[in-house]
Amino acid sequence: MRALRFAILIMTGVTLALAAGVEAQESLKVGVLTIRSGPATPVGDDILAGIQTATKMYGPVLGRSVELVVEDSLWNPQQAVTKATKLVQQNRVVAILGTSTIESLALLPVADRLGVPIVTSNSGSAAITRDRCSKWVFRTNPDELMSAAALQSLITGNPRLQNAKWFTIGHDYPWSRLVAGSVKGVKNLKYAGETFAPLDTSDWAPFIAQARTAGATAVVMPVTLGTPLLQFIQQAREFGLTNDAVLVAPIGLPDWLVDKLGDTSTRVMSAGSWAAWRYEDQEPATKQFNEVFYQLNGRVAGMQSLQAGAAALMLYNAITKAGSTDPEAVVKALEAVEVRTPVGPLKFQAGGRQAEAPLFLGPYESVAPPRYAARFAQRVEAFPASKSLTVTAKESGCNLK
Amino acid sequence: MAPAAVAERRTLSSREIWGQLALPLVAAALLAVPFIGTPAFTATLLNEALIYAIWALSLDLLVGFTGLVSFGHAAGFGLATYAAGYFAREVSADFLLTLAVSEGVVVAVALVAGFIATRVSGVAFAIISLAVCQVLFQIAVGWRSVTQGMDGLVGVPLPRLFGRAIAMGPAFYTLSAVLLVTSYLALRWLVGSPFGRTLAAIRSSELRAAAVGIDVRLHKWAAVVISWAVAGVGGTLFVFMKAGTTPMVLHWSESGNVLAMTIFGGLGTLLGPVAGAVAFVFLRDELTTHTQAWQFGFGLVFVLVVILFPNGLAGVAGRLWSRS
Amino acid sequence: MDVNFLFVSALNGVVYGAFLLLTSLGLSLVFGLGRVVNFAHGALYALGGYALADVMRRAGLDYWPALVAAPLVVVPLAIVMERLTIFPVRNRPEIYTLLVTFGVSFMIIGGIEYAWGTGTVLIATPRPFTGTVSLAGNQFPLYRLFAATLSLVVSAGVFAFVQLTPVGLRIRAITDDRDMAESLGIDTKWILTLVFGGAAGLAAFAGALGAPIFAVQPEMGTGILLDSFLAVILGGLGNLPGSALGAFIVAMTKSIGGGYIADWSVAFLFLVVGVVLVLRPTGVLGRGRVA
Repeated sequence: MRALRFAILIMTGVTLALAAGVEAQESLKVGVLTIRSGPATPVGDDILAGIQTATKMYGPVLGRSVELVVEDSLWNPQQAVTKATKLVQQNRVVAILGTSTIESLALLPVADRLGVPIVTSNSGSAAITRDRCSKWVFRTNPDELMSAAALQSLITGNPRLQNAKWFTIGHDYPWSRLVAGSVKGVKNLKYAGETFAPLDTSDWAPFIAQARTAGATAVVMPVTLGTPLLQFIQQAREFGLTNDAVLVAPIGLPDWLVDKLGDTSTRVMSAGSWAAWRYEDQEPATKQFNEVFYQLNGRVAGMQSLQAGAAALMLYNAITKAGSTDPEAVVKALEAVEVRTPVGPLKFQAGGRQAEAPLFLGPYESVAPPRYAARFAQRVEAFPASKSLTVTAKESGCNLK
Repeated sequence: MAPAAVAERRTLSSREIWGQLALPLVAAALLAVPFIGTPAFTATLLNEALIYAIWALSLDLLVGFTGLVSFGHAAGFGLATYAAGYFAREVSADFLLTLAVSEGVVVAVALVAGFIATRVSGVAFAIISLAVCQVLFQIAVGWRSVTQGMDGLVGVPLPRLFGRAIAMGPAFYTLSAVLLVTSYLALRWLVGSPFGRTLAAIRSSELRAAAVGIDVRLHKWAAVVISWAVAGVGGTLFVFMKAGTTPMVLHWSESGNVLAMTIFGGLGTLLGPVAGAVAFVFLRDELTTHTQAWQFGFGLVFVLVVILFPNGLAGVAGRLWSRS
Repeated sequence: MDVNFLFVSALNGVVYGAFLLLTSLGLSLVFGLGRVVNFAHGALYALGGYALADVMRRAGLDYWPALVAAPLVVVPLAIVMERLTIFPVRNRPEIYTLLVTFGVSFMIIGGIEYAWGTGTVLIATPRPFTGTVSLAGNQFPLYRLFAATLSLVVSAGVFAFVQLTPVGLRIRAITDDRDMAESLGIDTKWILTLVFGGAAGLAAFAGALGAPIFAVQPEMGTGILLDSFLAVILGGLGNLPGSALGAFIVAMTKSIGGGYIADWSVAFLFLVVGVVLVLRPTGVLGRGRVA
């Protein structure tokens, strides 16, 4: 027993002593702070895969190879701050990619302390580039207010939806209420009701029952992206809701979710995905990205991957344009670059930090023959930023000094 | 002059000198860290560890000295982050003022929570303390107008002391270290006082303590309130360090973390939890960077420590010391 | 006040309550018997779901044989776990088993994530219970009704076993007064292992039975663990009928409350438990241990 105890103690000590401190070489280090454990890991997987694909596509930056330093945020804001600090202080990264809303919001108040550009591709909260904007934090995905505009345009442009009886079922988030509000805001719309469930709800029976009683023929579902959304759609079908109503996903479905749903996905419409692989029919950069991604990962590039890839490409282009890795120079370059990314030509709004990114509306349908191993995917109709982002940075509440 | 008095005047052995000096030396070493060329991130991590150490010390008072195991000790710490964060952002970032306000809030809630929790003991106490923390978590998520819900409270400015802002880095580190040393000394005094000895009696046997006429419930209640208050000091520092807070700080997994630190370090000692907090922070950082098996590793170490090293690091250190 | 919403919520509460019953009974039995509070109970529930999914995929079995196989796979694992982790601390204060099982639960969940990844596994509703049935004008999935009924039957079986069989008599004896039981010649060690294994089997069965409803993912046991603890405390630790009552109180509060006051329903539930504890520390039926 004693020997065992000592052995374990020594092993613990050795582990502690093995401090990281890998010294910097010629490579250019870029930090990736994302979800690498816990229930949301598939999102982090997609983000990382997208960044890796873009890195491979772009090649060396300023003549140096890019080294991605990955840290797990544990989906915990306090940990995110610690890991971001580690990336900057210990690994000396030139920028941080890969964050989602939770990490972005956590890093905003300490962005000045970190002093490197942070480019997020997976954060929905509008405040990040509006009233809480920081000169260091850029966003390539559309924010929730832009998504609201797209949702409204989907409804008004589609007679079946305009004349439907609408119902909202979602988790109890401010975002869900925003979505419900944008539906209600459409003129001459029949709104039958709404219901919001506790954040950890996985059992939607009573809520679905409410929608059916109200005679809903269109249900918008601001449910947490991931397992909960998957369960919701499955249960909606089980309860026969999908026979009576079309389901509308406010920001679309990730492609792994579409794959799991299979045929059921054809009951769903996207009111504004942040990216869609089938945009390759119109955008060569998307096609190039899809091919490299499929080569590396054996599956189709989903929304988060495409967006993460776009963010990485913006960053690499900016560093090249700036000619150095000096943070201030890179920030200035980011403000000015215009890049062809997998979501189309992208640039950040003048005087702001939000990219003028399109949203992709459309129903899910079968893909025959399968492409990139995907049998179902979204049909793509791009809703440009000129229509969704109608305020200037200042008007939206962002005042950068 | 009696011979006994002469016999008292002998020279101290070197062991005894080391024993007396150990504590001030450790404290001095800790305080010196940012000024001796330590790598920036190591100092940052150590700073975080010092804050956690205050938190672990407060739990040790409850678990190690009073015998009440809490599964919800994120409550006092997390509540303080919100109270301090809100006050610092809305009213004044003066550190002492913020600390006073957050302590006030924490003590007020602890009085109520402690009243309920000390109705039971043992396992039921553990579960109820978990439940109390869950309620606070739900309030943090639901009371959006004040806490901003899951998005968290952000925009907490740097603390100010005597009119000067305390930047992150050596200044804030020193503040944290000073508060840790103060908390340690305060708890050491408390544990040695009659109150502390009463707690020890309660820990060893509630029945016997009651039989001797001790008001067991009152003492347990006081222990809960004091431990929340000390945790609150840590929480106040934490919200400044992270420039904000979120409901995740009240999540039950955080309660599990502080419990792990305290047990790992050694219950019933005071240096133990400090060592445990440092070990935990550095271990977690190492493991989460290099593997995705943090959850498994955490559980494994937890189980091993509980079964094989119930006295934690302090126990092992103590045994090594007495063998030398 | 939408009557249909209330009705379906209540029905859902009954369904969840039936599942909660399975896990709470196991928890209560193990505590009453061995003074062991198994924090890893939720992880065993999750393991049941994964065992089901794995058996279905690897052995190509249909749902029903897999439902039988899943607990059979988990029980030996649980017994090994008990021998390795709980047994060494059996003579220490009770709180040690709670701490040890706390650590074990992280190990099991971490192990699940390692073996099966962190994504969700969907289990299709098994035949012949696909489809819905109309109850008071509302469509309700047939499978949920079936699963709830089966859970209640199994729970009744557990009750019967404890109340009516010779082994059950021994279990009740040990629960009442362990030293006395031992001095009467009852082999407590064997019975402890039996009950622990049985409780694990119940939890795994619940996880497998619920898989088509609640889906299989690594964190699936966390919610039901906490709810089981609350149910058992409400009913009084070690008190079986009390745990049953507690399970339904918890399930109904969550289900109906969840429908109307969303997240605040959880806080409300804890408030209820807190109030009950302040007024009756021995549980609602007043016959449990204060622990």
